[in-house]
Amino acid sequence: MALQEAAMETGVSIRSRPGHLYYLLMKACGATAALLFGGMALLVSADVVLRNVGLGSIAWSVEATEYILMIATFVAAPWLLYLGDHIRVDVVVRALPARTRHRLQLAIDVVCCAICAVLAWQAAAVAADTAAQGSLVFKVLVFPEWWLNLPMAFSCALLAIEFARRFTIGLAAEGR
Amino acid sequence: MEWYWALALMLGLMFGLMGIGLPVAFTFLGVNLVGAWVFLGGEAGLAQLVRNSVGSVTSFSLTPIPLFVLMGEVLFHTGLAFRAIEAIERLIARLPGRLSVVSVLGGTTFAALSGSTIANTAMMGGVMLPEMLKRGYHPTLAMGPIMAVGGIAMLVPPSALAVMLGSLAGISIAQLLIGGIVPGLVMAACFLAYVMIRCRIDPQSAPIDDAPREPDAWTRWKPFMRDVLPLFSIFAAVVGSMLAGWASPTESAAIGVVASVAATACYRALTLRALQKSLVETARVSVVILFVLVASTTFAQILSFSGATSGALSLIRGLELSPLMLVLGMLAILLVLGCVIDQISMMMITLPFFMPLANAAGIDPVWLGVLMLVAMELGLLTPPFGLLLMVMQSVAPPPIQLRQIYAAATPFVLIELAVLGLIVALPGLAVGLPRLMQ
Amino acid sequence: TLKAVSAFGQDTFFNQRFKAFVDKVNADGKGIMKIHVVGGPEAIPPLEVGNAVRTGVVDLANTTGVFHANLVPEALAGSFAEKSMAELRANGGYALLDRIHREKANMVWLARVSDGLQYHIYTTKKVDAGNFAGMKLRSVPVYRAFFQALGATPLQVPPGEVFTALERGVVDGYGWPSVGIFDLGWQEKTKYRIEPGFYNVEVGLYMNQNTWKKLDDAQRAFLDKQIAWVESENGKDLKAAEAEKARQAGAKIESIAIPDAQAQQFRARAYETGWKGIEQASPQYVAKLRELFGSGH
Ligand code: NA
Ligand code: NA
Repeated sequence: MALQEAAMETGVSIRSRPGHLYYLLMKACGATAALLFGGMALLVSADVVLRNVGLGSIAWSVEATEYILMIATFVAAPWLLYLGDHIRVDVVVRALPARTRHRLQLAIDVVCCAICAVLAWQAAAVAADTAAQGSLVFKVLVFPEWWLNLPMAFSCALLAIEFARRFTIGLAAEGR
Repeated sequence: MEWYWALALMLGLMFGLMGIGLPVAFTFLGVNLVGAWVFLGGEAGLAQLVRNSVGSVTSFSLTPIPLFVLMGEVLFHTGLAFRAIEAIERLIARLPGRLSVVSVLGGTTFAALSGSTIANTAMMGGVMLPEMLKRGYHPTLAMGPIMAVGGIAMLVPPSALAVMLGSLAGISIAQLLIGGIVPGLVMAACFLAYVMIRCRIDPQSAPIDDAPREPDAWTRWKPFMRDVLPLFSIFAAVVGSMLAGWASPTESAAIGVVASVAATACYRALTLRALQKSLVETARVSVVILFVLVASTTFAQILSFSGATSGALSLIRGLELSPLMLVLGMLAILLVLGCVIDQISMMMITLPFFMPLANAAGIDPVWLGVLMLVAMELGLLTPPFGLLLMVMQSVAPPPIQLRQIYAAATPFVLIELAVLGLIVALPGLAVGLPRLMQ
Repeated sequence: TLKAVSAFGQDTFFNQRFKAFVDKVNADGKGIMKIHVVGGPEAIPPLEVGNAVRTGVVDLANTTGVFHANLVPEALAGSFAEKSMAELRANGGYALLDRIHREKANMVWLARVSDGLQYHIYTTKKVDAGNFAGMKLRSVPVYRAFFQALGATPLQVPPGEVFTALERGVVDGYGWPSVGIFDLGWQEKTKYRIEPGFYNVEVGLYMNQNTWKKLDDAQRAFLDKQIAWVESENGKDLKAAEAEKARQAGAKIESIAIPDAQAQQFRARAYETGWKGIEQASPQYVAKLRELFGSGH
């Protein structure tokens, strides 16, 4: 429900095909994080139970938990922006006249879009650099280290897109 | 660059961006980009920033956050928490500000059973707040107690943060945990006193509901026996698994989740829909916090790297203060830092300086540790970056404005400051119990 | 001016030698070289220090190969060394590992500032004749495989939770160097230290290769002299270990010796699993490194 309300608030038309796909993508981001957290609870509990009944332990459980936490955080961040959930200090902003506030909001969207775009670019660059370096995460789980940079690159790219989308909607609203 | 210019650049940019309304997480990310370019060095600096950001949230120490949140959400969305608190309510009839009192009592109880401040506030906020607003409570009395008792969770054992402070600072962890009990109780008592006095003076702010007093003790206590006592088995599972040595504090949080799901199943309150809703809400509440942590942890690292933090602290060292002045100075630094960064980063930044200063001046480490915990607890409630303020914002219904949340926290911030002053004046409050133990 | 960072906290044991090194360079090197320490783990997270050196975010670091084993798996050889740094400099072991660092991570291995200190297993329960079967031990990746080979269950516990985990019996012990447990307050919950120790705790100075190439002859000669000095200080490590063991005894930590026959097997397992770890990640140099760094068992 929250998503549909948010979709209306931010002006996405869920009826249009691209709008609908975007809506589904956001929803999938949220669902992924929710499932990851649920899985995390199960995994950690299973490890405790197995260890204490003497069936050994799941050696990779702590590591997996750390990756789950990181992936969930990055994957869900664009979804939270879509819902308008990210925390802001709006004490000053609320005191401004509506028109100024609207302009300021446009500026904020541009700045945030730029911040996220730079981070997305750098996260991708780091992933490429690490892949070229050939470094491995070598704990219980062994895998190429550059995989760890993908969630952030994905997240920042989607965040940049979402801010750009908010900006265009805001601009269109001003034209009206 | 001189350290004060570095400090001015980082803090100025941060307050500026935050002030014009950039979301907190993106403010930190933006300042981090500038800071990384200037201090860590160009593009290599940006790349390092990305690496540090990913690393900051790839941490087992943060695992309890979503788990404790999930525990609360499951109890909430299945309606169990509501039933439990209603049962507690029945015991307290006809008291002005009844629900605020219930919040303080319930929150303090949960504080003694959970180590996560954020989860505590999120859960109490989710359960108590809508009800209080519905019954026409003034926002200060509705939100204030919930946020205030949230902080007690990091003072009273079990507290993940106290353990972390003890091990980073080389203070006896057992003594530090025990040392937090009395100040935590004093604080809860002060909150309770404030709520009751304020409601007597201004009855409009917390309308007395006309819930009739139950005719006899059994009708009053029956819901408590049915809806509250069994819930303690969840907490027994959390604390018990830790006490029995089955699980580490983090793992016991996961056990708490499983126990809550099992309990709701026993009450036949568990539905797939409720579970789904709990998980989605958990993702919302905890990722808001975790995403800010990504940015603020890295912010603290860059601030440190730039020399701004050490410059500011060595300035203090140069003043050659008396032990009391030194302690007051440290607390002042913590209070100021607490406005802008999170507790873990505060410890990381200050401890390397505080502990040598304190040891040289012969300051009792347990006393200092408890004072630090209280000062850091205040940071949870001070804007612009106050974790509990943010948690409250994320659970509060839309008509509640951030300004009202700040206003709600203010009296409780003042009370906590008074308690801080009290512990400075009477060190026995903090070190009395630990000394008895020896 | 060289920008430097340490992977260890300001007042911890493994930062002391680095501090002395920096002070001496800055005192003797007026006009030649100056080191500016920007901070410790609060400035760059320990696991990122290696990368910061690689990319030139910092010029110099006091860290351990354990922290950058993702970049240079062979760096763990320093921890498995059974020869002193002087011997490694003489037999080419140092030169080989330095070359691997330069090739793989754009880093120069300047010096070793901890040599001869061992890791120990510390427990809360009595251990009978080196039998660790069924014990739960807190571990880190360097000796995880070893603990598993001993039949113990290795657990990953964040540092802030180790104390509580020991207190509650979630873990029965942990691995740690022979010095430093007082830095963490864990002595309160520790009852036994198992002898013998194993491995050779490696802390070293690593420099960005571009920075190193830019040094002129006078600076390199000066640096070499300071390195020779700081490595000569490594002799003090054994005394520090002795002092720490006495301090542990004072804190009621009893030493338990594994009987000779099992002790030999214990140490053999430690090294076997350790080297195997490097081999799995990067087999290219492992045989040569083992020949140069190991004692040949
Ligand atoms: Na607590
Ligand atoms: Na704050």
